[in-house]
Amino acid sequence: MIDREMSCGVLVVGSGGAGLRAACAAAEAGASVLLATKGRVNRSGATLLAGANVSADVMCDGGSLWRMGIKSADPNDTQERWFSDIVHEGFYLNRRELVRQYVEQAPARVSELLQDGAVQTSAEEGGRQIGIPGSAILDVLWRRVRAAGVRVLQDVTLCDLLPDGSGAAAGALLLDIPSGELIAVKSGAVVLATGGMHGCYAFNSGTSGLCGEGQAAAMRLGADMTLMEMVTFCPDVICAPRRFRGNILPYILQCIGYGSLKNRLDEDFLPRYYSDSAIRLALGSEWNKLLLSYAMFREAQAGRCDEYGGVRYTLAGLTAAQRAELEETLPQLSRGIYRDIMALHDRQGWLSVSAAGHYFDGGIAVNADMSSSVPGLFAAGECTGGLFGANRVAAATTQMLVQGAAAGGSAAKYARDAGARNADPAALERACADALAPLYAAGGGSPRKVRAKVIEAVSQSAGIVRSAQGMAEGLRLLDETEETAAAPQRRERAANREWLDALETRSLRACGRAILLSSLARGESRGVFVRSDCPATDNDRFLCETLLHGGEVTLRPVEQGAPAAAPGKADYFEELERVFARLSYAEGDAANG
Amino acid sequence: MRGDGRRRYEAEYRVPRAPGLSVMDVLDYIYENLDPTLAYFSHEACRQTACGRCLVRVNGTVCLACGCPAEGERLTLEPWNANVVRDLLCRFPPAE
Ligand SMILES: Cc1cc2nc3c(=O)[nH]c(=O)nc-3n(C[C@H](O)[C@H](O)[C@H](O)COP(=O)(O)OP(=O)(O)OC[C@H]3O[C@@H](n4cnc5c(N)ncnc54)[C@H](O)[C@@H]3O)c2cc1C
Ligand code: FES
Repeated sequence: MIDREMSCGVLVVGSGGAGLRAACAAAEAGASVLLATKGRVNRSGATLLAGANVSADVMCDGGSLWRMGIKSADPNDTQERWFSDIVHEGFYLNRRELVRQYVEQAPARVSELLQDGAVQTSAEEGGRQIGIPGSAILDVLWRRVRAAGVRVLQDVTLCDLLPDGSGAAAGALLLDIPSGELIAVKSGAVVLATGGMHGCYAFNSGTSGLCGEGQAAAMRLGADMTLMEMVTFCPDVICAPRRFRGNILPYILQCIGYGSLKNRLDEDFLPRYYSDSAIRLALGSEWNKLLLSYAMFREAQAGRCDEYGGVRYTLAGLTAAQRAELEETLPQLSRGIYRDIMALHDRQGWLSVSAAGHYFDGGIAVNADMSSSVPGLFAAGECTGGLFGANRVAAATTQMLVQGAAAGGSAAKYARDAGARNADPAALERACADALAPLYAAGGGSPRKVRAKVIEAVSQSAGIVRSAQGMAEGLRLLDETEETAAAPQRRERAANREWLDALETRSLRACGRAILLSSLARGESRGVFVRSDCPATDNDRFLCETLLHGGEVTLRPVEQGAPAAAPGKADYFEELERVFARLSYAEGDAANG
Repeated sequence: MRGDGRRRYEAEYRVPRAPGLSVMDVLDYIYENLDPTLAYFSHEACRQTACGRCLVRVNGTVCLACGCPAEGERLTLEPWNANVVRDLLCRFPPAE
């Protein structure tokens, strides 16, 4: 059933920032590296779209940034302060060893990015961050990957991870999308860097290939997952017209201080939900994701959204001088697709925006060496979980760089010790049969329709606000889709999108289930996770991660310490305000930012 | 223009007009509603003119399907190079 066999020391799957950084780390540590990726090696994943590919924030503590010569950085900021903020921001669910690593390694990763020639944008990024377009980050990393002599496979998709006889990861089964060939790769270690589960949500901000296939394959191999219920939505994402749907430009403009939001009735709706200090955070810091998404959800429920389900983002309040300043800061706005979006905005006076599935705080459970619970399997970047706990405010770009570098190094070491091993033949046979199964299915509807049903079920039941009843229904609908007969109309392997849809659907369903099961186990509201039927944050019972293994969720206490959560159970919004008050930047940067 | 490298044929589809559609949206409409066997670049698409992968010849001019507005009564869509895998999906040069 296999068309091709390959072998390597370290197999890296995915070529966003985490995958590229892992590939060069492993190669520089002496491993023979194969990098397999679904799209174009230097132009794919969320990394490409980071900061709308206009200006992505890359973070590091202000003191270190200052020493790198970044004059807008806060020289008085320290790693300890940043650590403490990240734990508060994460509502005390962060895996602290990952936060420590993130904070400590960030300066090295950011300074090498700058030394390797990543061009900064002139967007005013504030005390702990600089701005770099997503593609510029990829360019720098790709140059380094090439120099390190990494072999690359593009346009292949991960079907399954392959265990050796002892259950350790020893390679993967890949599908070459254009030719339809199945490739068995045998390796000493595997690094998963396949990014988020954006495809689970009908409205999302990611590229089309981000379907949680790494997470799903890891689950099938028996890896532990953590905090799968934590999903961050991005509030100001264009929802119409279709041509611009999913673009986060308004969000990026808002992050650097431009634009305002009104509902269909032309009302400022934030005061309905938040105190003045929370509104300042909502408009002036990356807390905007959590705060604005929730408010937009409520506006939609109350029928105060437009016919596209969006609220209105507008630059109409800017003076001519401010508008000129914006265009000078971001010259990309006068070119290509952004010129078209700005022209639409100027014609209408607004853009219709709404909250889209954007960042996945949960994922494969990893330790600070990026090892998962399965020997030989490492993971980095957005497909992992735990670093940011219940809410990410700090940069995911920095996460992918720090974790990528760590994963590549650890995998190279593991592979050197373990050597390339053969996959268990029965497991390989099963993986091939599973991959080919859709082509031989008896028939029925279109895989595309089944996929749409899966996405609808997850979007409806695992959105910004959830309830036990809705989630039970979501799980039921997901089960139903598994029973639905479907097969591609064309049965050939080459360039068969319906086949790919069927394969992706399997992963989307598995991830959707994982999100729902973990959500049901968390009987509270915390950070980005809000339940209408459990509206309190409960620090007595839920300072725990949801650990998912083999379809079962257990609650495991998360290491605490300084800073510590306030004990007791509090109303979700009271707890929000309590956390705000503890941030180092509470009424400083955020109020002016 | 459909088919693989050897056999080529023309196919015609009727797609409802709507404001704000790109050529990629038109292809998605065909795939989702009219012909699920249509091949074009879609497996890791940014849809924001950032990946440069969705090249297609629109009325004779090569452009990015996701960035090109779908305008006019009739669109003629062809592969952008001669190295056709199937339909509008062309082989990309290896990573360099
Ligand atoms: C629109 C947008 C804007 C953002 N802006 C910012 C920002 O300004 N600042 C910030 O800090 N963070 C931002 N984020 C988040 C951040 O960009 C991501 O968390 C980060 O880039 C993830 O990097 P990664 O390498 O882990 O995954 P990705 O960059 O998503 O890469 C995943 C890789 O895996 C590949 N892949 C997926 N499935 C498969 C498969 N089955 N087989 C083979 N390969 C596969 C993909 O093609 C891709 O190459 C943004 C995210 C989005 C979507
Ligand atoms: S899909 Fe990326 S450029 Fe069109």
